[in-house]
Amino acid sequence: MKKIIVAFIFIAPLLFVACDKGEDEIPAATPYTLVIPEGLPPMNIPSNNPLTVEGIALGKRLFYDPILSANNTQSCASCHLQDFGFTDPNQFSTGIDGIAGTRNAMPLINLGWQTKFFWDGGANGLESQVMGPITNPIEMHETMANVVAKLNATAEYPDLFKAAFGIAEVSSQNIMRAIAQFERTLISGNSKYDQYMRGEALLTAQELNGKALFEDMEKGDCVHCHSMGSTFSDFEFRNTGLDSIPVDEGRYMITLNASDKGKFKTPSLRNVELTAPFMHDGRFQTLLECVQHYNTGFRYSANLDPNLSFAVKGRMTQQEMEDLVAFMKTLTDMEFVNNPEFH
Amino acid sequence: MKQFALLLITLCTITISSCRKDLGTKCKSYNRVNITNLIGTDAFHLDSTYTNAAGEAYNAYMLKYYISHMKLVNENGERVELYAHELIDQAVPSSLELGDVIIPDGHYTSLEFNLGVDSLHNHSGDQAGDLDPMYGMIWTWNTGYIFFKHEGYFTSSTSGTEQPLIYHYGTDRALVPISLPIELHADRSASVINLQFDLNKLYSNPNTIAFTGNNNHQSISTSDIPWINTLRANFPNAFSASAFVFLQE
Repeated sequence: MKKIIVAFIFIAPLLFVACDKGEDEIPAATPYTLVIPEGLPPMNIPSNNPLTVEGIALGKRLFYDPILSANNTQSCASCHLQDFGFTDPNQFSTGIDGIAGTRNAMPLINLGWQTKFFWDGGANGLESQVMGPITNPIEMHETMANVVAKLNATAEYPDLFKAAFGIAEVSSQNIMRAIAQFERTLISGNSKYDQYMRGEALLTAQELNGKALFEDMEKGDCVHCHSMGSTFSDFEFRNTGLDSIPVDEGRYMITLNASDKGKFKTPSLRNVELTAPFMHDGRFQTLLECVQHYNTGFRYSANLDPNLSFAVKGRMTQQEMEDLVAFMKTLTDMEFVNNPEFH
Repeated sequence: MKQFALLLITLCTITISSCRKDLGTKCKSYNRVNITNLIGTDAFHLDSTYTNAAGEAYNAYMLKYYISHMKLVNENGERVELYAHELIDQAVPSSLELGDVIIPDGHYTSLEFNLGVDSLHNHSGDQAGDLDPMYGMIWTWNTGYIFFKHEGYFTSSTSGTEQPLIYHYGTDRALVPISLPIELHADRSASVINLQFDLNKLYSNPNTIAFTGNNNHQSISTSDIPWINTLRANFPNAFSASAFVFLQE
């Protein structure tokens, strides 16, 4: 054994030279140019995880592969269905052990513009987010170490990782990076609203009235949080008065700041017609119920968002609420829902 | 012996090629760090039963912790970093032997390191090496590393029954900067620093920690904060270090 080690020391420099030469021959992954629809801002992509054709393809394959769960029965797509804006039409998703969660699955739309993930913002990046559902005991209930081992043992994945990242050995880091790459391509920017903004479509009188109410600080006042245009969210954490004493403490569980009790991430409203049920706990089935909540239903507490504290209850008529809903439905992007690149 | 042969060869190569004191070129030495987990003066073993300062019998089937940015400090206050992030796992003997690092010759008087992962690295799982999430030392729902993990059983002082002990210590406020005095004259030499961690001292010095009614802490709620503060105060006293030269050119 000693001799082998000594021999290796002398051979090692030669090996490094040889490896350098070899590296030139490994074809680098093909850079992928993301097409950002008009109206959406540029996307910040981490410099250590640039998008590549091979990386995105690998990420898509992993996203749809149940090998990521402990008993190989559930994939990311089990609870994030493209038909529903990559969310789950059930109030709570059920994990591999038959246990339901306590929060509604979040839609996966325009994630590349967001910096914090999960309803409470517990994950600080799209890459880190990937570990959450895989390891959550009531979701896919798997360990990253097992996922790495299972993928390494397959015939096809090592080659796919080599094509995407230059290294055949599967690592948790590259699993996270591949899935994040795929998720950054899930862009919605061709709804009727977008077409209207580009001068390619007309909104009906009701939709236009809804748009005006959406922006009217005395009426819908939706824009404070669901920023008008582009992302339709500020991606901040806010207490929207769902409960006076929150059952789920939300953002507080991450920051332990008392002022964060009952705060949840503002979701984007893109494709909101498809992402029912609504709110972090999926308590509302329809968009009208959501609008009714902001019009009359919200409950007061110390942490209630100031925009709602000052809002007058019952400030919108039934007709106005229906017009608001009509406008929200113009954010539905069937090209996104049917995009063959995503499945 | 294997390591010794390897060291000798590399040491020769370095000293021949780079070190000429008379020409003013900097001379280099080697240093490695070996870590030993202890109970008092005895080596710690997984699944063995020990008694803490509160008089409770306990064991550990898992004992892991992160040490980050370990540096040697010389008499002029100059620092040389030996290792970035190291996961110490009692179940993995190789994790207790931190490999050889080239250091400038000099008189080193202290060893600095953090117990835990610094805030720059503590909030992303997109990392490799010892910070790879596959080692299970990360919270995946609230991205952050578990700095110290002790899982085992103890005997409750009130009920007399065996109960689980789950200590997952972390979050930015839990990071412990530690500085230990050492005495190391590195002069074209190979040296070793023995870093010792006494688990019983962690639970006793200066604050005695009893496990009964205090056996499940995962650094997730405000009720964990006093426990974090107590352990943070104890950690520096649980470590000690000594250095010696074992090979001189």
